[in-house]
Amino acid sequence: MQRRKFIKNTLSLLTTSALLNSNGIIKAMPFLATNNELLLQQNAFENDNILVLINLSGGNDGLNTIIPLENYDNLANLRKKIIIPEKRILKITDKLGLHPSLIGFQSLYNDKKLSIIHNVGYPNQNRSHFRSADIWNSGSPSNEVWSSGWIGRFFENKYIDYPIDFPNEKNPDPISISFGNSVAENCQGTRTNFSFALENPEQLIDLSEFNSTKKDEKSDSINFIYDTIRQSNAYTKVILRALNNGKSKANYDDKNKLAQQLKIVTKLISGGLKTKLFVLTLDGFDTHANQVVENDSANGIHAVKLKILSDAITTFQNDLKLVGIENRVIGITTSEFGRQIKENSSFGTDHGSAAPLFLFGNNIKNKIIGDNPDIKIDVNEQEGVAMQFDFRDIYGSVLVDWFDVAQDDVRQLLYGGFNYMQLIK
Amino acid sequence: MKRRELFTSIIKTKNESSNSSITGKNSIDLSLEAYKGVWNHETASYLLNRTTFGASSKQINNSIKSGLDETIEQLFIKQNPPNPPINYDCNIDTFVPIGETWIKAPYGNDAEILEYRKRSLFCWIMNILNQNNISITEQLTLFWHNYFSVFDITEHKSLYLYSSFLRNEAFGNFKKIINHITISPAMLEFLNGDKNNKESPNENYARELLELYTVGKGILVNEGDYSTFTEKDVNEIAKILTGWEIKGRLTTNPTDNNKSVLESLFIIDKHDSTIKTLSHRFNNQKIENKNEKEYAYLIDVILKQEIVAENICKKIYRWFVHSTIDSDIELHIIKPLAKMLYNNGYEIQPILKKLLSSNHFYNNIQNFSKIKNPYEFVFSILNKFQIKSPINLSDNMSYWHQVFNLASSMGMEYYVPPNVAGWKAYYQAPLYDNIWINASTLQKRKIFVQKIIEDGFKISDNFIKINVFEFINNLNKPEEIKECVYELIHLLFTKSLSQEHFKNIELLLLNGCSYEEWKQKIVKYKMIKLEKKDCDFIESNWKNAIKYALTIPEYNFI
Repeated sequence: MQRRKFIKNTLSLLTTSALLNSNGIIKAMPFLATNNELLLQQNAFENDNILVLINLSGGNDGLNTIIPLENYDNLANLRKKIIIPEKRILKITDKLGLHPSLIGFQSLYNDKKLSIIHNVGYPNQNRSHFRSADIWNSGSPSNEVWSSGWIGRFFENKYIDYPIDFPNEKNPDPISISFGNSVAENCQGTRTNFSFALENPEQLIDLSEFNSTKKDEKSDSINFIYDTIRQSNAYTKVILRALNNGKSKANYDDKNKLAQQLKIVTKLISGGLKTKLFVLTLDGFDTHANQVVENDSANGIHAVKLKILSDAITTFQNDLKLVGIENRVIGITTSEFGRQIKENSSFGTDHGSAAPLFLFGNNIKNKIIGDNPDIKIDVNEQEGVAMQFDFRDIYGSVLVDWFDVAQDDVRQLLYGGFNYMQLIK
Repeated sequence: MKRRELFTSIIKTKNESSNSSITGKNSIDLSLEAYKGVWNHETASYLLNRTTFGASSKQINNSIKSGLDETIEQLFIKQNPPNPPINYDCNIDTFVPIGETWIKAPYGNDAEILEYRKRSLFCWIMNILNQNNISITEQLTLFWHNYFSVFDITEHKSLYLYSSFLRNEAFGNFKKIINHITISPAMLEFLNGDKNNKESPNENYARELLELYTVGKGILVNEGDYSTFTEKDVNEIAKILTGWEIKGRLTTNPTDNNKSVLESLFIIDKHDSTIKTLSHRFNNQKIENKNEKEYAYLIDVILKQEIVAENICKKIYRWFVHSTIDSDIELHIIKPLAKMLYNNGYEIQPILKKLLSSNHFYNNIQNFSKIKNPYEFVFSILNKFQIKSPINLSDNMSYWHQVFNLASSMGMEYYVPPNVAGWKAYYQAPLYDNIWINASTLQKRKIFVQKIIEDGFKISDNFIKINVFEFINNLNKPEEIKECVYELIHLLFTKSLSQEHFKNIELLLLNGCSYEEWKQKIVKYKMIKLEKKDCDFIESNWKNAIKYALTIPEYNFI
């Protein structure tokens, strides 16, 4: 069966959960819109909102990022080597302070452009980097393996035919852009990935197209490369045009790679690209050792990483304002888990559980959501921070308020227990 | 079905059964029986291209002649170890003159010494991949590097020791490999084993030992219980592994003859000598103190679990055959191989030979089932066109530096896997090896092809690229256009290409001239009577044809 036809036929088979292919093998059925209203919505985004996701890869130590001051003594006792000295902490409320590297975040917070959500995780925390990153990317429960990404399913719902005939007149731009040399796992649909991998826009070139053999006669694997070639060429053109037309007015640090990538994001958006999602990664948060420098706990690997993060986002936020697109962009930082409450012997911390995450943007509503992590005078070996919010409530609420998805649909895309949280103005 | 259930059933569908492209149009042979079918160009080139980094026409033809069994034996002949990495270009290392090796030399105080040894190691491995023997050794060395991933190792001597060990044991015994790696300086540094002591155990290695290297992480059934191991095991195993340190790391002090020694050392005072008790997942096994022998005892305990053998076989299957393992393959291929591996005491060679000689392996040829990783892409081109690297040391370094950087931008950097589980193409469902292909990496692959055919890698005043005339000289019938197309396709592809590709390559070669004109030109060329203008014509047509072949989607498959 031709691919195109296959998908079309599938649309009329919405009541079947799996399809037998020509070999009688049950294939995963593409995730499809399940009612006509949704189908009609295809391609029609109600707004021009854009989401930026920044993943802090490795598992960010939340307790040294946002420090609960009311429990400071208990924490200091459990983290004798790595606790940030009280006088170096940037206080943002009586009860809460930021790591000294987060000067930019402090000002964003004061400007009401930064929210902190405490204790984000999921039930039955898995402490493997890979499984936990999979869970965050797919939105699956911790004991199930799902192969599609949480936002990939959302895109698949909107763009049923993708990648066939994409780009097209209505959708000339990449659906999402992932920085680096691989596509983003959270953009994985059941058939295809919705992200365009962009490493260095200065090196974009055209790929040779072979508009020869009818694609459908070839294998799926060959088709996959043909589609990638075709899209690469088409999207390269629109990206270069947007970069050319785009503006950026803030001073980004040349040596800060994340900042340089966010500068490109600003230029692409202001240059007219309609891409809905940008995915970026900052790695190096797996701080088992040398998280802090001996006898100088405000410095070390973690301090360097947090400074990169804070500087990049702060400059980006400022740039968005300068070029006049501040109201169209919000961002979220995520990490696969937090770290254990007790330090280890190597001036570091081991894999833990929940952690805070940041939301940034002019349209962010609340400032501090949730309670300070409760740090007892003594904790078990390996104890992590208990979860208060399910990350899927945050992703889902952003889908609702930022991308106009009905709460019921979020329950299907993510999980039945979805609780809406008002995070956006 | 209710809408809700429908949704759930869709997203729940397991990745392992969802991508059944391997099962393709024909039902796949699920037997490990020895392959007795025809042995021809297709089978020989398939076996060689999957077990080396690109075979030349001559190597493929030799294999066709010698047959499957002999080719397999040849692949597993123990190779002489390569010469150690040398100082290519640094004249401030007082211990190591240019051209000499640094593997036993102390460091100096200058940071440049660290830098040049890092460059040297990259250059060394590129030269090894470029040697292109008919041997499975280098594929397996990279396989184990991916298996026991380490990166950010600043001590290059330890990285050299690690890499050399994996090469030496490439098709040896898994038990021996994991015992060695557990206390190797590279792994002690990478997963903080050197910081793991009885006062404050560091669980980094203990966790990966279970999750990545042996029993794997099963489904979470209770808090902290992953069905194959529990959090308690991580805790107890961390204690078992306490006491190891690295001696001589980054030392600047020479001992005898300006040498320095790098080795792992057991410090009894840092070892936790209490009795450790594993969880019910390991039958509540008690492990009494055994000091420096305790880690080996522990590994024996873990390797008694048969699932370890299954996990190894899955990784081998993903590397050499196909990324997706459905329940049929698990039952008919993985389980029997695992049984064999377990029963023979974790010897790797017999199961690899079994797999690579099986009906199942050759039945898979018809599918485009494996995408070349960046090194397979790059070195298949360099090796098939027999492009020689510069002999001069600094030129050699400069050449491999450029190639290395370009391969890195395609998503693979030797000695720098992206994380502790290795490269995502070998574990991340559902994309697996599709991860190698996206807009960014395809553009880098094309840049490489453009360079190696047209622009060349600039080295001093020379440009390294494919020498078209050398290539023509090695063809059987360069004057017959059909033969030219056929030979090029045979060199580069396992499966034959579509008629359309044949036609396009022919059109590019002829570029407007007739079969007869082509023949005349080549005859003249052979008699060294071809005019410059016609030489240029032949050269540029051949370049276009090769470029076409290397940039069509099919070339990304192996």
